[in-house]
Order: sequence, then C-alpha cells, then structure tokens
Amino acid sequence: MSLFIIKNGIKILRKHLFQTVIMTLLAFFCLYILGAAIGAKETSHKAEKKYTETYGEMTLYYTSEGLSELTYQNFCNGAGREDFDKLHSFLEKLKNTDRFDFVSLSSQNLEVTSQPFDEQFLYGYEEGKAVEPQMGPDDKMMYETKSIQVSQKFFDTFSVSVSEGSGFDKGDYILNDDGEIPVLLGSAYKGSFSIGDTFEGYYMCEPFRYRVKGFVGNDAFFFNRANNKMISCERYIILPALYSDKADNFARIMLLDQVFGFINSSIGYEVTKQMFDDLRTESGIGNWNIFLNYKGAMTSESVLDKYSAMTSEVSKQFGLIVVIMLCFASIVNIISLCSMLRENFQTFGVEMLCGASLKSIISESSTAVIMIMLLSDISASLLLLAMNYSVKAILLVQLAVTGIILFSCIICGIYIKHMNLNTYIGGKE
Amino acid sequence: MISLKNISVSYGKKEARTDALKNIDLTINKGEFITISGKSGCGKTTLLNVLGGIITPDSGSYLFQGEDVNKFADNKLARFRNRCIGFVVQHFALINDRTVYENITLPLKYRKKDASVTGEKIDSVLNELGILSKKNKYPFQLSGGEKQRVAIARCIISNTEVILADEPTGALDEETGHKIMAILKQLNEKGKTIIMVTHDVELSKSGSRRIIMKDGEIVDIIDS
Ligand SMILES: Nc1ncnc2c1ncn2[C@@H]1O[C@H](COP(=O)(O)OP(=O)(O)O)[C@@H](O)[C@H]1O
Ligand SMILES: [Mg+2]
Repeated sequence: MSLFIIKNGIKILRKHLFQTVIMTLLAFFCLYILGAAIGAKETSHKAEKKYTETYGEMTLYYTSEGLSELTYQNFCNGAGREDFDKLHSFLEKLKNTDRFDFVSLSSQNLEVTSQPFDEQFLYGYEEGKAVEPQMGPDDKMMYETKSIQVSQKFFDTFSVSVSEGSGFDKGDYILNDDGEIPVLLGSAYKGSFSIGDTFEGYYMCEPFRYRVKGFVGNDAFFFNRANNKMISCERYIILPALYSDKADNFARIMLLDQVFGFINSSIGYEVTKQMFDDLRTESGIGNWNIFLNYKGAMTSESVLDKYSAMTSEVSKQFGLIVVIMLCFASIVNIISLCSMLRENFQTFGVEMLCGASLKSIISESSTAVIMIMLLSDISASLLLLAMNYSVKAILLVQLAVTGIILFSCIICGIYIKHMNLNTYIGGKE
Repeated sequence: MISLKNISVSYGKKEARTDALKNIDLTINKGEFITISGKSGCGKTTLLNVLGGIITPDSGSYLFQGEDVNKFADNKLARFRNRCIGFVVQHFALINDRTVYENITLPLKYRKKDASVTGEKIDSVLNELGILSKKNKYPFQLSGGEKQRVAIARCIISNTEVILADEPTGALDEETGHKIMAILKQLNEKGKTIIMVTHDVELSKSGSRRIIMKDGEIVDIIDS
C-alpha cells in the first residue's frame, strides 16, 4: 500500500509537470545558494584564522611622503638624475634590510581602453557608485578599474597566494621597453580572463598593454589605508611596483609613489624609526619629508578588528540576500504546491470515497513534495561537491532539506484538511 | 443493518448556520432498495454523507451492523468506506487521468490483497456491464452512461454490502438513465442494499421503500 501511495505521488508530479519543473529548479537554486553561502562564510572564517596565525605578532607602520614644493619640482623635473637615484637607493635599502619588512603598496587606477569591464571591477563599485566610463583622448571609452601596485614582499606579508598561473619574478618589477606589464588578477576576474590574455589602457596617463600572468586566491586581502579597511583582492588588478632606469618623468613619479606602503616590524616604533631615518641619511635624502608614521600605526589587534568587522559586514549583507531569496522561493513554492493540491481535489475526493484515509492522502501529496526536494537536493549537492564546497556546507544543506521537507509536509496536511474533502459529493449547491 | 437515531447535522455557525438534518430516525434492513426524494436542499445528500461515513453528525447515533460509526477515528472510518460502502454519484466520481481499470480497482488498493478478485473476474464484470472494450480508456473518452457503468463496476468489484447512489441518472438522458436503473435493480436482486437519492418522482417509486424528506426531516415513509 505504501508503494501505491508513492506511485500516486509521482502521478501528481507527472500530471503537473510544468509546476514540478519550476518548483524543482527553484528549490535547486536555493539549496545551491544556501550551500554556497555557508561555504563562503566558512572560507572567510578560515581566512580570518589564517590571518590571526600569520599576523598574531605583527605591527604595521605607514610610510608616506610629503615633499616640499621645491624638492618635488626638482625630483620630478630636474635636469639630473641624482635625486632619482638617491630615492631608488633608499627604497632598495628599505626592501633589503633584514630587521623589518617593507611593503610598497599604492593604488593608481588603470584606465582600460581595449574593452568594456564589468561594473564590479570599476572604481567606486564597493561604495555603491562605480565611475561611469569616459571618452579618452584617442576616442576610446576608458574604464577606470581598481588596481594596486605592490612590491615583492606584499605577497608574504599579506599572505596573498597565487592560485593559478605564476606570481611576479624579479624581472617583472622592471619596466620593459615592449610596453607590456604583467598583472595578477583577483579571483572575480576568473570568468572573464584566462592566463596569457592581454588588455590595454593607461597607467598613470601612459598607455600600456597588460598581460595576465595569474590569479590570486579568493582569500587574498590587503590593507587600504585610505579608508582604514581590509579589502578583498577579488575585484582588483595587481601590478608590480615598476622601476624604470630611464629616470624620465614617468619613472620618477612611479618611484615616488612607491614610498607609500607599510613597514611590518616587531622591534618597536622607536628603533624602527631610527633605522628608517639612518637609511634616509645614508641615501642622501635625510632632509626630504619622508615619514614613518607612528600615529595610525596598525597593531595586529586593530588590523584584526577591521578584518573581522569587514568580513562580518560582507557576510551579513550576503546572508540577508540569501534569506530574502529563500523566503521568496519558499513562498512561490508553497503557492505552487497549494495550487497543485487544489487541482487534485477531484482525485483526492474519489480516493476518499474509495477508502483512503486523510492520512494516506496527506502522505500521497507529501511524497510529491519529498520527490521534488530530493531531486533538487541531489542536484544541488552534486554541484556543490563539484565546485569543491566543504562537506560541512553540504551536510548543512541536508539539514535544511530535512527541515524544509518537514515544513512542507505540515503545509500539505493543513491545506488538505482545509480542502474539506467531505464536501466532495454534495456540498453547497 | 443500519440504524440511525436522532441524527442532526448543521453547517456553518451563527447566522450562516443551516440545519441540514434534524433528528433523523431511520432503520434500513439488508437487501432493501430505498429511495430518498424531496426538494433540492432538503438534506438528501447530507443524509447519504452520514450513511457513507464521510461526515460525522453533530449528534445522534449511527449503528452499522451493531457498530457505532460515529465513534470511528479517521483510519477506521476510511476502512468502513472501503469495505462497506460503494458510491455512485451524479458526476460519476472517477479520476480523469487514470484508466477505467485503474479506477475500478482503486478500492482494492486500500486493502490487503484479495485473492477472490482476479483479472478474469474484473473482465467478466466489465463484460456484463458492456464496457469491457473500454478497460484501458480514460473517463474523458467515455459517454455519461459508460462512466456511470464504470462507477457501478467499481462497487461490484469492491463487493461492498451497501451502495449509496446520489442522483445516479441526474446527468444522463432518459433512456440511458433507465438502463442504469435496471442495472441497480439487478444488483439489488442479487442481495445488495441500495440507498438511492432522486428527485424524480417516477424513479423514486422503483424502490421497496420511499423516504420523503422536507427541510432536513423525514416527512413520510411509503412502502411500495
Ligand atoms: N458544505 C456545506 N456547507 C454549508 N452548507 C451546506 C453544505 N452542504 C450542504 N449545505 C446546505 O445544507 C442543506 C442541505 O444540503 P443537501 O444535503 O446537499 O441537500 P440536497 O442534496 O437535498 O439538495 C442545503 O441548504 C445546503 O445549502
Ligand atoms: Mg444533493
């Protein structure tokens, strides 16, 4: 008899094939999103943990410049290249000392001209107003994409790994004559670009071609001091901090920009500052306004604060979207379910006359619901598995499915009782 | 076999309340052919619903072969409908997306396997009723008279003691209606208890007892 009930449940689905397909797709969609959301939350937890492990003992100090008008004019436009060489030697010494780590990190946007870039990659997107593309000097649209320029130690200091392709080699930090700059892309770019692809655009007003060398992992973050936030690299283009021996105006501006960054030091501010100033003096720029800022120094704790605030905010927003979607899909599915049951009034009525109890009619329609849920559950779980989501995320989806099944069976029960099958013959005329 | 005492049924609450049955007393013996007639809205169908174990009356007692049907829970009431009652109604009560065969064997699905119902038995019943060729057709492919024969075949196969018929000829033309009546009479002669609702005066005279209802009450019982 239970086999008979299952068969009847399947008959209901066959009769309402369209509704069944829609319901299954919706449920599949929701379960997948739910699994992906749980999975994503886990990844961010993992990243946070990794961050704590890596930076438990670290203190970051900002480096910056505020050259006087005169020094600046001399540096940028002066006839000789002594100033340029002095600054270069200072930065090299900073990079090479073994007492602390210096990371150059600046963010000049790339203005892409070769093709449109998706809105999410454009500057201002995170703040809710991506900049509009503008007509460039050569009558091509310019898309202002988010980009950072980093020195070699960036990757170790911020634990940014290259998940596909390869990272920058030593040679990549030197500007070539062929007008091509290697770049690493954030994980969100994965669908739009492959390794080896190129695109064109302006970097600090100079035209270049950019060749994709690799992608960074989706747990890559960097610290943006402009807004004191940990920022995910996923929608960023990462350029090497470039040196050009030509010492032309462009090379000079690029070099000066590289003063901005962080020193990661465990020897305390006073000692670090002393060493920093000694290196300046050694390089002959002791009187330039180049700072190591104590104020605003980031201790590991405050970095972590920002970090978790950022991730929890993101997951809160994401969670909200997921919840709204789930609610919407549930309402649609409940309405379809009820209309499907309503259309079976005749069938249930006849079954009731022939000796079906209310319980078996409810089981019959619950079977239909369970079939739909199982079908969408299996496909969603397989997809999650194929997309490498964690077992935990998949198990939690199963838990949700169990809950949804129970809930829908209760809905079936209530609705069928409400249908008043005992008015099947007679009733109001 | 059937004994109703003081049965009352009302629908709705407060101002919307309708008393569909008021203190009905009725005894029906095995093998009788009862007809129930009266104006539309006088409570005939409600009475059949009580007899068929579809609705439980607000008060009164309903004994079927000595058992108190009012006390049956959902499961037992379902078994009662399955074993004891066959239904033949104006709009046939067939499931449209199942074949004639599936429709007539539906009651058997709610029982333990019954060895006495074989494929040959089913074929011979369908043959007797003249619908053997329709066995694998769907109800929407049949005429009204054929559909009603399918409903009757279902009662015969499920072999219930009682057949409740609610206006069985109401949706049929006169000639077809007479043929259906003849089949019901034949079944009665073979020992089935038949309780038939009709508002057709001529048809109401074809039973062994006529029950006349008015406003939820039995106003007359006429032996023919
Ligand atoms: N499900 C119901 N809800 C409310 N009133 C009903 C319902 N079923 C029947 N009635 C009312 O009960 C009375 C008796 O109905 P019914 O037994 O169907 O009469 P008959 O079959 O004699 O035409 C009528 O007034 C009808 O409107
Ligand atoms: Mg009626």
